[in-house]
Amino acid sequence: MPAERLFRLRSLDPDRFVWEVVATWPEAVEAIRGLPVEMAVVDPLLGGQTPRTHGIGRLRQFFPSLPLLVYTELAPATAGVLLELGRAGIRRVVVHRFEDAPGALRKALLAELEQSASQQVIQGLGDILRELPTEIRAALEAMLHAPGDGITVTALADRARLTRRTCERWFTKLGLPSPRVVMVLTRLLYAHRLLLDPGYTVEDVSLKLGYSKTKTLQMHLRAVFGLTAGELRVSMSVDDALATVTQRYFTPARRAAVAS
Amino acid sequence: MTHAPFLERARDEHERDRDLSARLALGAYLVSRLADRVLGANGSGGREGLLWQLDAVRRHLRDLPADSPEAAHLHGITDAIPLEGQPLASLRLSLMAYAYFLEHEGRLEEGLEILALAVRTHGPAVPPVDFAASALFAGRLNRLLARWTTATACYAAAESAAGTANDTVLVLRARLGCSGVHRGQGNLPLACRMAEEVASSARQGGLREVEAMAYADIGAALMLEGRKVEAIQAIYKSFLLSDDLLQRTRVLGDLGIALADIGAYDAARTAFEIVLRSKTSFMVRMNAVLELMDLESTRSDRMAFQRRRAEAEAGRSRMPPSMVADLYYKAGVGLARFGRVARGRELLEAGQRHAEEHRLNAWYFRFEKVLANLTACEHREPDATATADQEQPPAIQEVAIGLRDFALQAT
Repeated sequence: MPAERLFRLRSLDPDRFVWEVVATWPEAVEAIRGLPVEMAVVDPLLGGQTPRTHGIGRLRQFFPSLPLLVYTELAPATAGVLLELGRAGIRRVVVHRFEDAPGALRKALLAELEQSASQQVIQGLGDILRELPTEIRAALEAMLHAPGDGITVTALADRARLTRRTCERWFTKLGLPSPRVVMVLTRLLYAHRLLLDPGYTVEDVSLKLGYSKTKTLQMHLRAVFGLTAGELRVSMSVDDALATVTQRYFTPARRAAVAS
Repeated sequence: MTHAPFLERARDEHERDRDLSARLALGAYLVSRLADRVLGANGSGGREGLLWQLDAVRRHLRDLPADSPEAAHLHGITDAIPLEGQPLASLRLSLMAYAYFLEHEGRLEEGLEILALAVRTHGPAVPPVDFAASALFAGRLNRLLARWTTATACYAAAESAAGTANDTVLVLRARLGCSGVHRGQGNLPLACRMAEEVASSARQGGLREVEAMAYADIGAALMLEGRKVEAIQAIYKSFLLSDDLLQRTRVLGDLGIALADIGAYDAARTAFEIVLRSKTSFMVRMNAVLELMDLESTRSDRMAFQRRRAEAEAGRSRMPPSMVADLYYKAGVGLARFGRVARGRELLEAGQRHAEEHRLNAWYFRFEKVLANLTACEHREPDATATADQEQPPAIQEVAIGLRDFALQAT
């Protein structure tokens, strides 16, 4: 991304968006694999003077769950590239100098983030977590990107600006499993979504979610879904994974809460 | 990709090293995205975002040639963008004017894009008359693009809405549109019958212009059926009935074709030259060029044929599929007439593939027929009699005299 456009991105809500800048397409792939990247803002001009679709196409091929926003110059040479990207299903474009007023650019980024894997997980659990306060739901989403072995109820409560006790009370009141279990399950659903992308290995997902050992992630996946990571990625759809988690962990607890 | 036809034009023009034309196409793309924003399709960043985008688009348009009619249309649209929540009527008019311009330039896909934006300015409830008029327009564009199912659906919707609004002209025009679809698909008897019914209804209702359109369509169907003298009479009747300049030049083009077909070459040339001299649309002018190309090959004037062919090839990228098929046909047949049978066959075969791809059934059969007979051309001596006008029946002589008078008045 050229300096001017990068500056525009960086000056938007620095507390909300953190940018990882890459200079080549292989670097982009490495960043997506190893860092908690939620979306990619891409320019077909990356890596050369001539616009090309190859790098963006590879990202879509490797990481279909990753939202891609094309942010580029509009010039006669770019027209064909935009058409090719459109045919590959990459249709969201922000035209530099025309459509990147701060408000419009922010809106485009947020709309794209709505499609991110973590957002999809949170939206998938929307009905179950609906009655939790907004602060806790936002904190749960943020905890998806906290280091995997260090997720604690205290950290969740801190993010939600509640006491640990109040936080726990909310989960109990709504008949949900403990906050820690909910955090682990949310992260595993997220891990499952990422594993469906051909570009991630189990090690990548483990690294991306901040687990210090892949073995821990493997263990959790097996305990929750009854399958290894490798089996999961070929045999369980997003809907099946959500149904499994809901059935095993949320329905009985809610029933018990209603009964008491 | 939204508004892809403009990007396609930009890409094509860029590949031909016509940077200015490419920038014009990008201008159209940017204006379409701006209209999208105003109509609420691609989100917004509020007033600040709209002003930012509008200002940037205007800067882009200022760099385009000031004398370009298309740039004038684009400026007109940006000037009609409401900034304070004013009604969208002015924007709608500018978009419709641009859509008509694109149609006349043969940029049918682009015309559809802009027409869709214009319709959206009505919001969720489009008044029946506006809906019918827009559906007719969409039907015509789709028909010219050989998208028969979509075109038929548009005409049916237009007829229904026009019926609701009690607008007989639009109802009859929608029926003529359906007749045109049948003609394009090769069902000529049905196309002719439908157009005759419309002519009769129009006459009873005193709708002279609709009657003229119906006679033009009857003539076109009869011509394709091979009933040439009847076709010429119907088309000439349309010419006499019509007061609209564009309609008259269209009809003249058809008349020229029919006259050439029966060997009245001088009269045909007169008709086509009137069309070429008139300030009519790209499509009508290009049809006249194609017909003159065919006329010159028939009259064995190789130089004139090649000159007309070069003119036609220059406009090819803007031709709708049926016109491209016509170009393949006339170029292929023309080359065969000049003894270049192998090259002619190549073009005719390419034309047949093109007709198949676009489901242009009538054209497909024409290619098939001419290819089957092409071998005979390899052994044929040039036909000297073709270069002279043939003796014509009085009805046709009357048409020829009428055309000469018209040409004299026009100059």
